Amino acid sequence: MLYSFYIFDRHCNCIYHRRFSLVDDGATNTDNESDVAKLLFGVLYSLKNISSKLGDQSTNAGGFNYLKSFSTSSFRIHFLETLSNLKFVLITDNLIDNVRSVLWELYSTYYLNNIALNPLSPVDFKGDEKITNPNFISQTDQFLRSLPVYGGQ
Amino acid sequence: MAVYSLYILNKAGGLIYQSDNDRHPGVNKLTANDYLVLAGTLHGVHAITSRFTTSMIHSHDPNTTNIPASRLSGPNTNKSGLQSIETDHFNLYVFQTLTGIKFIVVTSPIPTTNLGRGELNVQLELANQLFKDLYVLYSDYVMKDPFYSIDMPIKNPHFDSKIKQLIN
Repeated sequence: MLYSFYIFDRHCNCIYHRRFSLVDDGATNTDNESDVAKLLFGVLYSLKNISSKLGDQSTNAGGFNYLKSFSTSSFRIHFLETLSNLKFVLITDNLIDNVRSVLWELYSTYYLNNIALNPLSPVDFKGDEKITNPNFISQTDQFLRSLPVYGGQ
Repeated sequence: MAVYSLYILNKAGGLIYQSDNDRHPGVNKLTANDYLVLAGTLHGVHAITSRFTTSMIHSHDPNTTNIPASRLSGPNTNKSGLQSIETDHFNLYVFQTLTGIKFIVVTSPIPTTNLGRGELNVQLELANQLFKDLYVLYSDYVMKDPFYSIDMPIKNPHFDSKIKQLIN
């Protein structure tokens, strides 16, 4: 089951937040400045540091050690960081093991085409600017809702 | 699942015991100071994630709780805080006792090809089995040691050798 989707930019701001719900339509960009979003960023930052410090970085071990996910007893948080330091985060229930390909698809198809390659979209999201591009929102919504992990089946 | 390292944290987040697997090092050696920072960070992250639970999943489906019954029983009081971390090179599991002591093990990762639905939960159950054994050793060799003062570093050679047997 998919709970929510966050994007953080390289200035630590939450530039997109989408909460999903089975009972209503959820919410878009309502909790970007909330404590939860800030704490989530802090936790990801700390865990990323731990995994790069503790992980064996030698080339025979496979190079840089990336944080993939972490969990509590009620949810699992999946994490992907791009080379431009954008952080893509999906929150699901903890029966779902691996959504790396979904996170990559969200970045490589939907973010790149609608935001990065869009000349009208700002290069950097300053202050409290957020992703409000309707194409991005509707396309990612449609994509995430079509996935088997969305309903948890 | 090979165990790379074991850490024990007291209830204030201080590192009171550390043991590394000599045969499968798996993770980098850090300085003594970095291990203290690591322990403190995990303690903090555990406290923060335990505040998340309600806000992360609120209004999604109020009728279901996602905690399997098997995980509500047993000595693990870690119901809402950080339970596991998965990275490319290691997995990390956290177990918290009723008295707030945290056991943390770092294990080998699961190959991505083996990942299916629920595979990570199977690994978590394995880790919980290991935690039970560790907790028994801790109770027998540390808590029953009349010279041990609580929350202080564990320096007990019998405990050391038993832990080495268990994780090597």
